[in-house]
Formats: sequence, C-alpha cells, structure tokens
Amino acid sequence: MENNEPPGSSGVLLISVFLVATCGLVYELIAGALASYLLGDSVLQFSTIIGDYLFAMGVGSYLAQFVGRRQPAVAFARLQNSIAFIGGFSAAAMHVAYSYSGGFRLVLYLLVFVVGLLVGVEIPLLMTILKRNYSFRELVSQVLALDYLGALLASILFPMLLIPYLGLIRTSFCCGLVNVAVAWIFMSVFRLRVPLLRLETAVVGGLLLLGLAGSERITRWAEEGLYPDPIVLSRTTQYQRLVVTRKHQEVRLYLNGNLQFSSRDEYRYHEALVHTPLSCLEKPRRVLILGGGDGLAAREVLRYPEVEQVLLVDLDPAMTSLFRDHQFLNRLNQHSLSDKRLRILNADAFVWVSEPREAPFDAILVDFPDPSNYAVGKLYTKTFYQRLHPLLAPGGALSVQCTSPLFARRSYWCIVETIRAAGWQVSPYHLYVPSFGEWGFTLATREAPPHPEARRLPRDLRYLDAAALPDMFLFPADMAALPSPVNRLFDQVLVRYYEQDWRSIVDS
Amino acid sequence: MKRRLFLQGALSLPWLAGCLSRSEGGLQGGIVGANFWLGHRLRQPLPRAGTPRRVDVLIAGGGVAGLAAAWRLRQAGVENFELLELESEVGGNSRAAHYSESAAPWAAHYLPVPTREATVVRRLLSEMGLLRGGRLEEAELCHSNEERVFVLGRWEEGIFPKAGASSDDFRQLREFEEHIRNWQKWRDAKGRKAFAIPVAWSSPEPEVRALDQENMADYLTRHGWTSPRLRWYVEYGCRDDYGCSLQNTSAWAGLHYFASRDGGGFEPKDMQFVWPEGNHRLVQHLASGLGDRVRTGRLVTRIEASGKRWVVEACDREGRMASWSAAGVIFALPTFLRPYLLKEPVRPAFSYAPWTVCNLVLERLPESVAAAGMALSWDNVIYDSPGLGYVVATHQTQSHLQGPSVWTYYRPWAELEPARARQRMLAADWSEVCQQVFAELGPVHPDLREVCRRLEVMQLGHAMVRPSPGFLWSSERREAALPQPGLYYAHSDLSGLSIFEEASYQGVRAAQELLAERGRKGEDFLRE
Repeated sequence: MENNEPPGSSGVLLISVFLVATCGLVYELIAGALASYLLGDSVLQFSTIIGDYLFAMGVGSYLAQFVGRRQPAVAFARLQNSIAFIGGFSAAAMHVAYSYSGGFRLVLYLLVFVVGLLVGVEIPLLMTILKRNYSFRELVSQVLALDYLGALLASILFPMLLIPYLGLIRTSFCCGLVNVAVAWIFMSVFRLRVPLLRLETAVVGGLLLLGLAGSERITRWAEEGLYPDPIVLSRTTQYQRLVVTRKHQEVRLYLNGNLQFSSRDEYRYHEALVHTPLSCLEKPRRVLILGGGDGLAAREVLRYPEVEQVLLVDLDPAMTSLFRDHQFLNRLNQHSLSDKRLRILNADAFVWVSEPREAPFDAILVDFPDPSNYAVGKLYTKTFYQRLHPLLAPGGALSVQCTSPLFARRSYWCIVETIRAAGWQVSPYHLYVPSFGEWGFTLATREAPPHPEARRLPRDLRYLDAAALPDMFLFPADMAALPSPVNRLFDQVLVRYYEQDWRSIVDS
Repeated sequence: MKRRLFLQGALSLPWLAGCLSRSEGGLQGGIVGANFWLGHRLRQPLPRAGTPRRVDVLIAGGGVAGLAAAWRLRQAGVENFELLELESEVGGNSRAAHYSESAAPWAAHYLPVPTREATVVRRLLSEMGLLRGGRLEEAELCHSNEERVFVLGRWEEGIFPKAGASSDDFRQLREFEEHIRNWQKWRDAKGRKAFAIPVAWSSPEPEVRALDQENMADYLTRHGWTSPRLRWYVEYGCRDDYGCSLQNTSAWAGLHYFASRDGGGFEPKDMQFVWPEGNHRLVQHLASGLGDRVRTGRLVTRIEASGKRWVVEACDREGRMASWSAAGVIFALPTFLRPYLLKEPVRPAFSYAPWTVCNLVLERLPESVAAAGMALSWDNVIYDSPGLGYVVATHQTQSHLQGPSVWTYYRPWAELEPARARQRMLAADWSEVCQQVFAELGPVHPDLREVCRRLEVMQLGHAMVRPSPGFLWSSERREAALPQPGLYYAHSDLSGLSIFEEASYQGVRAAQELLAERGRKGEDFLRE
C-alpha cells in the first residue's frame, strides 16, 4: 500500500529533507539562544545544548532501525507531527518553565534531548523511504547534502530574519508549522489514508496556529510567574520594563524586576523622604524632586498649601505620563502629577543638574533607584552632590534616598560620607518600611546643621509625628556609622559595596 | 581638461559619499569622510592658479598639529594667517560625528592625564578649566567602569583576559608588569625618562635606543613571554595606538605604550579624559576664534619657494585653483605628501597604518549589554577579534543603561601590509563593512542589528604613522623635521607616534621655530 508512490515524488521528498533539517537546527538554536538570554554565559549554554542535541540525535538514529518497519511513510508523518508539537511549543514551554518552576535547566535539557532524539530518527527513516528511488551512494550523498544545506539555511535565517522579526516564541511555532506541512506533503504524496493520522496532523496544526496567535499572551503569562501577585499592567518603555501587580488592595510597582513601592506601606517611605526636609523650613515655596516619576513624593509635597511650585525631573516620559493619566495609578498619587503647581521635566538628572536653568529651590528630594550599576551609580557621586549646591536656596534642605543601612550598611554610610564630602552638613536617618525592610535616607543642608521640627509636620500623616521624627535619627549598633571612602565618578566604590552587601544578604 | 575633471571627481567624492546615504533592511548609513584615493590624485600634474593672496603665515593642514600651530601663533599675537584643510571640518583624526542621539568620535577618543613633560597639553587643559591649581576636573575623567573584555562568553573587568588563563599566563603578566614598572622608574644620568611623552624628551642613551632596532614580538620572546594571552594583550596596545602587529612595532614603541603614561603625578596613574565627541572637544578649543581664517574643502596641491616668500596652491571642491603667497608656511600635513607637494624625494621610512572606524547609532541599548558578567563599560574589547571593540559615546552623559546611544567601532588592519589593507578597504562597499561589523559583534550582541538605526563608516587610508623597527630613532625621522627658511614642519608623524600629545607638540614646535626666526622667541611652551 505504500508502494503506490507516484513517479517524480522524490523531488518533493528531497525538499522535505531540506525543510526538516532546517527546522531541526532552528529548534537547537532556539534552545541555545533562550538559555543564553535567561542564564547568560552564552558559550557554556550553546556548547552544552549542542552536545545534548547531537547526542540525542545519535540515540535517535540508533533507534530509527526499530521505527516504521512496515509503514515508514506513516511513521515519518507521525514523527513530523510529534516534532511539530514538541519543537513548536518548546520555546513557550521553556519560557513558562523559567518563570514557574525551579527546574528550568531540567526542562531545557529534557526538551532539547527529546527534540534531538526525534530529529535523529528523521534522516535514517527518510533514507529508508527513499532507498527505492536511489542507489545507496546517491542516496547518502544527496540526503546528507540537503541535510547540511538545511542546517546552513537555518543558521543564516535564525539570527538575520527569525530572531529580529519573529522572536523566539513565534519562530518556534512557525517551525512547528513547517513540520506539519511536511507531514501533510507526505500524506498527499504517498496517498496515505489513515484517518487518525489526518486528525493528528490537523490537531497539531491547529494547536500551533493557536499558539502563534496567542504568543503575546504566553509571553505575558510567563512573565507573571516572576511576580508574586497578578500583573495588572506591564509596559516596556524606552528606558525600562515597568510592571504593576495587584492583589486585593495592594498595588506594587516593579521597574526592571525590582520592587519600587507597595501601596500598603509606601506612605512610610514617602513621608520620611518628603516631610523630614520640609519640616526644616518655615515656608517651603519651591520644591525640586529628582526621580520619583510615580508622583508619590509629589503627593506628599503638595500637602503644604504654601508650596507654590514643584518641579519633577524624571528620566522616563512613559513613566510620568502613565502615573498622571492611568485611572487607577493616579488614584495612588492623588492626581499629584496633574496638579497645577507641578511641572514635569523628562531628562537624565545627571545631565540636567550640570546645566540647570532654574532658580534655586527651597527643598530638593533625591529619589533614585539603588546604585546597582555604574550608570545609576553616577547619581550617588561627589560630583553629582556638588552640582546640587547651586540648585538649593540659602536655608534650604535636601533629602536623599540611600538604600538600607541594615542590609547594605557599607553602601549606606558610603553615600552619607560622599554627600558630606560634597560640602553638605549631613544628618542620616532611617525607618522601617515592611515591604523593603529597614530603609535609610540622608538629610542635608548647606549652612547650619539640619533641624527638622515636628510642629511643622502636616496634621494628617500616618507615620511621622513628634515621637517618630527624632526617633529616625538614632542608629542602633548593627547599623552604626562605618568609616567609608568617597564615591567618585572615576572610581565608584559604592557600586562594588552595594553588589557585595546585597550578595551577602541573598547568599545567607 | 581631463586631469581637471579627474580632480573634480576626486574632490566631490567625499561630500557625495556623505550625501549618498544608503538603506538596507531598515539600516541606514554610508561611507563618509575623505576619499581614500585622494592622496594618490596628487601624483598627477596640476593646472596653475592665478594671482596669489598675500598672507603672513599659511598653515597647510587642519589636523591637531596645524590647529596647535595656529593656537601658538595667536598666543604670540600673530593673527594674519590662513589655514587650509581638505575635509569639510578641521580636526583630522580628532573629528566628530553629531547625531541626535549623541555626538561620537571619528577616531581619537581619549586623552590620558598628561605627563609632566607634556607641557603643551597641560597648558591646553588648564585653559579649558580641566586642570586647575593642581586639580583635575573629575567629571570629565572617564567614569567607572572604564573597560571590559569579552572572553569565553563572558564580560570581565579590565583588558587582560582572565577567564581561562593559566597560572603561567598570570605569572608572565605579573613579570611583564613588573618589567614595565622598572622602565617607568628608569632615569638616565641627566634624569630623563626612557619613554617620555612627548617622545622628544626620552633618553637618547644607546641602551634604550637599541630597543628600537628590535621588534616587540622578539622582545617578548627574548624575555620568555610566550603566553598567547600576554602577547595578545601587548599586541592589543600596539594595534590600539599604532595600528601595528607585534612584529611591525619596534620594541621601543611597544614599551613606550605601556611605560610612558605615568599619570603626571595624579593618582590613580591610568586616568583619562573622555568626551562623547572624543578628542574633538580639544579641537574645538584649539579652533575657537579662528573664524574664516580656516578654509575647508581645500586640497593643497603645490608649495614652492618664490623669492623670499612661499607660494601655496590649493584646489577647492569644484576643482577651482587658488594660491596664497606667505612669508612663512607651516606644513602640518603628513610627511608622505611631501614628494607630491614639495617635489622632495620619497621618504620610505615613513609608513602609515590604515583604519576603519564605524559609528553605530542605536535607538536604544541592546538588551544583551546586560547579559553575561560585567556591565557595559566605556571601552568594550573582544578577546582575539580583528577589531578593537567599541567605545560608548554616551558613557559620560547618561546615568542609565537604556535609551539611545552611539557606539564607535575600531578596526585597525594590523595583520596586513598597509598597501594591501588599503586595497582591501577600498574594495569593501558599505554593506560589506556592515556585514563585517555585525559578524564580529554578533556573537556578543545578537540583538545589535535590531537596535541599530544607522551605521556610518570612515575609511582612513593613512590614519597613523607606524613606529616600525628602526624608524623612531632613525636619522630620516629627525631630518624630516628640520625647517627650511620660512617653511616649518608640523605633524605627529615627525614624532613617530600618532597621538594628540605628539601632534600638539609638533604644531607648537613648528610655530615656535617660525617665531624664533622672526626674532620673537617669547615663552617656550615646550618646557615647564
């Protein structure tokens, strides 16, 4: 029943060799690229994946002798369906495995092995099918030539077209569809009338099409696994990956995977950041906020009726417009970003402070992400704090977010020391923010040492009062000051401290 | 007529190339800057110009040497001069590109904190407010992190590739570094350093001079330094500063690279000034106030004595000839042009390394900058790769690792004979260069192509003089700098090393020779 192969079909079959070879290599490249992206160290990832895959192909080739002895064409079509299904869903599966299970490597190598095994069966099986039409020499040389040619095509297409235009997940679904097409070609060429096989092919094809259509959703779902709560909003801006999660009444903002605030306790953080410096001033009129694109610090500043102007300088326009316009986020900051007294300026603060075109401010609130790399670390250098001098009016006060004095004690005191070295009178302070832990700030002034007064605090605060205010300036022994070098632009000791401090927390 | 057309074609090419932007798969760009063949056109006889314009001094060449000469003349009150420059902008190897994302260097991209002997550079930096009262302007020094190297699939800090290095590699590195420290401490009877910047202040003791006869490869072998990593590291320096392989660099020059920069009394010793636009920042300072005394788009074609004066002819981009009559001429062009312009015999000792420089304009940083080890640095080197890697123009100006940027990629052609390398460069069109760049950076940044909006290429045929064995201490080099009455030579190739410190030294030296001949000796900028 399988010998009713029409003349001239061998051309079609040889094209199939070429197609399956291309897909086979693409699956391997997808696994390698995905592992490099997620785990880093591309040489290690690629070399172990290539090894795993080639070994699996060897096992597959060996097993091929036991497969499809009676109906090789049916077996081959079935094989294509299996490869289409497993290979087609491999990228999505690996993404999800990375997010939801601890066993990413296991899933990775297992999938690579299974796909390699199935691909290994392909060529010997095809040779069995084709051997009727060719001499052995011809067969081996033609099939292998096309196999290698397919590999070449895959290795060129993958980096130049597939990755840039389709991305990993869609590429893997598309290759699955090619395998389904090969199965279909076989069914028509050999006029295979196996109803179950048709159904199988149709189902696999349908699933892959569904997967392709939903690949955006799969990516998102995979990402959700990285966050403890359901994602209600995610955005990739020019500068960062922004994710908002929500569980019951608790809203959290993550930037590039790092928690920025939790609505449950952010008032503690922002009251400390804002009211400590403002309570040093009799009448704060002009306030500058550096960073703080979420508008939460601005909300606290706008409590003071005497404040006339607030300037918020934040890098990312997408961030500030989101927190200004998004219905649900602007409730958190009580519409502070659309307040008439507030002006938003989207600029890199490091560049902006070196050429400010603004009159001095009565208070400056510095709220940047932690110094986790040398780029952000510039915002914690002596040069940066020196550049703030002309921006502060006489008698004004400055507060700076300084990471945790408990978890990153050396980093904290390094920042304090750097601010002091830049010519400021400093007063370090801290408080407990449940979702962050013990958190630290520095209050600074230019002339007399800073002197916050509880009587100036707004009335309806939830954390700061006459008792809590002086308490923040006391440091118990485990957070006490450490002698520290100054963080300079050309030698950022802080970034190294920060990495070591937090690594020791994570490792312990 | 034919020659004229030919010349017109040659001159219009650079501007044409600049305009003829190409686009391929969303990537735009083209080959910009000087036409590669231009120098060769000078071999043709040229038409004569009309009545010359009279100026006091004429400076031929608007690279760093020519601009430094102009700067020195103005300090002495000599204002009646003109400067002729072939390109549409002055600066030579210190020109810059200006994109909306950032400015970026077209070649020279940093200035090490000057040695005590580099008095011209020190004076310049203090004029610019970067070196004041014995203090450096910190914000302009290269921010952390300065350099990283990609080796065995990971980035690590520094240039010497540590991953996969054996204990023997490290032992040899320590020995080499110790050896360099000893050379840094070395002084002759008169207190001169073995390897000084400017080169002119180096000790002429035979013990040191003899090193110029040997090549750096043999020197390393002679000391038992066979580690491939150490040799790659030393060769990286030679390729970086000279565009030469170990074999084609004299041991004197090779050691000079490592031993000469001593931080000039500042700590740490290896700091450098870095700007988005590279050394164009220095050029802008030198060129400020020159106004229309700078004539760009002029190819100097002939320089001839005429009585006590000199006649200089040049041709503009339309092929029109013009001439100048000057009491003094400062020849701030590379020495290899002298046979064509001055009818001098060829000086075979002077040979030049060609370079390809590319500016990659990125819509945003590729995500792969964060992958695998050490984060993006100013200088990003790939171990065992034909190019030198890339520098990040926005390193000094951004405090985030996202957003738009410009990367400048450098490719010396050290592995080839210069003439062959020039042929190869000439044969490659824009899309071929793009392919080479992505092929080299692809394994490190697979997503680079996605974020690259524009790729511009500059082919510098005679980018740097090569300090080949025997050249630096040759009589040919010394003699080439000797002035004739009214004609003074200024170019970094007269120092034998193509660096800003030498170019500015040569420019000031030539200007002071001119002033001295007029009996206006004045202050010597070349000494403390």
